[in-house]
Amino acid sequence: MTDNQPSPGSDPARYERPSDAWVCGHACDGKPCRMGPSAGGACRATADCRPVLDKLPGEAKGAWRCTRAKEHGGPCADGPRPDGSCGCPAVVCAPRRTLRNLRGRTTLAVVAVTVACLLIGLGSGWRWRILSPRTVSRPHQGDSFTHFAKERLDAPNSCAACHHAAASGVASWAQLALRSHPAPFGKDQFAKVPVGVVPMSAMDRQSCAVCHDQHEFHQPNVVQGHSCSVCHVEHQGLAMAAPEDAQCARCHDRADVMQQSSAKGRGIGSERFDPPVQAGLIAFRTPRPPGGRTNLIASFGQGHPDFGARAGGLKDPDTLRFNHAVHLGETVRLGGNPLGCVDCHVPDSTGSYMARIRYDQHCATCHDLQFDPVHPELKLPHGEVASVRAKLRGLPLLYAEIKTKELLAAGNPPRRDEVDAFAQQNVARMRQTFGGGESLEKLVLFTGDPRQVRPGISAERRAHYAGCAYCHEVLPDTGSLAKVTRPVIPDRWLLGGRFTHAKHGQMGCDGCHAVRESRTTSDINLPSQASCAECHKPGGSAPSGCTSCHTYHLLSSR
Amino acid sequence: MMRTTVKRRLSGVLLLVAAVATLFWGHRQLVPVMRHLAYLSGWLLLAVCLFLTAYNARKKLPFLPLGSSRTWLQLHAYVGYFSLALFFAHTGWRWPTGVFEAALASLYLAVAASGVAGLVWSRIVPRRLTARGCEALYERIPAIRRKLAEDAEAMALASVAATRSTAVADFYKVHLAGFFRRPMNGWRHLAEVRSPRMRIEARIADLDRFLDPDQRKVLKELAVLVAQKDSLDYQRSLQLSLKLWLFVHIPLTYSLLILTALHVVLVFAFSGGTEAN
Repeated sequence: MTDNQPSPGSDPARYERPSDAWVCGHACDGKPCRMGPSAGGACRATADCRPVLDKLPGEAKGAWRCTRAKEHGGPCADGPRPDGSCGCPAVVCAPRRTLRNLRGRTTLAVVAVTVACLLIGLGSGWRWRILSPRTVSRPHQGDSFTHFAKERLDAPNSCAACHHAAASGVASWAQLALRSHPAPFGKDQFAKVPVGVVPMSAMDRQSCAVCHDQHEFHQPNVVQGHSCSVCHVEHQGLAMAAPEDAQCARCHDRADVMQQSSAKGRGIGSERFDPPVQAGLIAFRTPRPPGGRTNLIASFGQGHPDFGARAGGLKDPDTLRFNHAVHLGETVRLGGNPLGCVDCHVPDSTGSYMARIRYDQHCATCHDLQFDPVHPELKLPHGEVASVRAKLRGLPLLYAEIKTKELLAAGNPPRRDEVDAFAQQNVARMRQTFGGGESLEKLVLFTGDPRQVRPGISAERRAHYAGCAYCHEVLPDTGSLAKVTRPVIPDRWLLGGRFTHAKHGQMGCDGCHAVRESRTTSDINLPSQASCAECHKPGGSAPSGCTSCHTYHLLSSR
Repeated sequence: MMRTTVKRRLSGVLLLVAAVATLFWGHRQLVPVMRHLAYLSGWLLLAVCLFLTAYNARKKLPFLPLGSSRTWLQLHAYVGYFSLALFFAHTGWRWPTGVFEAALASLYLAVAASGVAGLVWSRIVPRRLTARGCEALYERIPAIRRKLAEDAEAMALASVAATRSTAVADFYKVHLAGFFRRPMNGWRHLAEVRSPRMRIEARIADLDRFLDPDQRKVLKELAVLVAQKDSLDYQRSLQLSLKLWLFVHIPLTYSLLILTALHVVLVFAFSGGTEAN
């Protein structure tokens, strides 16, 4: 629909000026005054004219005449007042701001509110809460860290421990920004990513390294210190995220960097590369490869070598004679059931590793060191050779003790002649079977197979009457007749990374350890890296990140 | 004219799509190469924001030979869209988590959203104004409204003497005097709701049945004035909306610039490379 709009009767003298700051207060009524408001917003309305006094010659009083311009209607009908003032008095208005002017004032108000909010926010105790991109990690916050930062770094607040700008006022931030690296107007902010490593920044040197001074940078053959903040990204929440594999691959997947590391490592003693092991634990240390561990590794599933303990045909040096295949086979029974792995291997208190194998807990049930089938309650002590020999030399006393207990149990007082006769009778029987006392000691210490001294002994009883050499390496010794080599079973096999059995409980032992075919102690029954990578792979059921197992830093206390 | 406009808009959209595609492709190429890519994207975003803000300054300096306002508006719109892509490239498509940076991002999106909304509105409103007719300068609308009111009142008063009846005058006093006195139905005009006008026209039609021919003639002329006043209100409502969206867009723009300046200072002052005194 189109309607005919009447001509507004626009007056060229009343040209609309939307850019002006003020408009007449009567404009909204459609009748603005001719003058319009001043630039400052004051009403400039005046009387329509300034009357003129006309006097005829000889006339004393005269008459006031209206001087309103013709274009404004000409002289008014009523004319000026007797006192000479205009008969059409000024109609004063309250000028109003134009929309443009209001918009400008709104802009100023919003800007003022913005600045005020910033000043209040930055000047209050909420300053760092407002500016911080996100919560810092838990170790880098709290009263204790603030105190620590003040003591160690002379930082007035916890933020200043890392950001030196936080130690100064807001006014100096612009100056600090100009001195930063990269500089705001420098070309270095557009620099390319450096090859391999990102050098340590001023913050790394002045903040991180001051507190974390016990951290060494990875291996001694690292070519250059890696910037802390590249891997440890702060302001990402209470828990600092683990470094990504890409950070490790920056060096480990670059041939040039690995070559430099390999070259640097040649001049460093291999003992400096030995991973630290908790005091009291026995570690299986593997020799360092000639070129160091500088294989090109992109990820756990790509380029990662097999575990060091499995590489290079290494053998378990333990002298204990142990056959996993026999123990897990059909011949060995415990309470009528075949042995299982968990009958010997039980997790330690952390659940991560297996507790050390102990004779009294894991072996003695079957290997209880009996030597007289007539009196099976007699057992040799496990441990020192001297104790074994002392026990065997006290055989008459042992038999006398047996008889004494037997009589007491029957309610009869033990008679010396009866007890002595019993002891002599049994000692004679033992001498008849095994020869003299020294012969018996040798048989106990050096006989590896019970069947040699007791032909026809049943398989079930065989283990109970085994000599020391059945399990141990026994060497002749001039002083103490024999010397039993103490078994050394490593507590830790993989020193370069962490492992926990607790998270692998659902796997089953046989899934990783192929021990049912292992017949010698020298077999190293660790799973291969490839078998681990079947699950620990991108998209697999288990994490495959480098930091799942490895730690970049090495403690200098090692 | 129409073909030129379509051609120009098509060219602009194609250029914009090409620029955005180049931006994302380049950003992806630079991610593994540039150590501080956020600095580059940040400076670019700041430059773009300053250019967009310069449009307001350009309007204040019409005497300088800086190109036509129309060209500036086109550039403002397309560069504004491009800045959105640059913003997301700079933030990595992640919403900032800190209070300050979240406020900065919110402010940017508010400015961008108000700009897009204003642009769309400024494309819609002129068509509606033209279709409705009765176009008038916004600043002259009060004068026109006053004249319509005076004409209507005079017509109603004159009808008393001419027809010897107060029917039309009474009707004017009860139903039309308020309507002519001030702007009416602002929100309804924005929403293209025409029921208020139709209600008045229905009342006029109701009265018309009881009037004699002379009175009907006056009432018919009054109905014409009612239609003109309604169209005038429509013009005022829509033209005012074209001015009011800038009350959001421009103030927020300057707030955004202030926060951006602080953001730049913070980024460099609190970066890892600031040396201690």
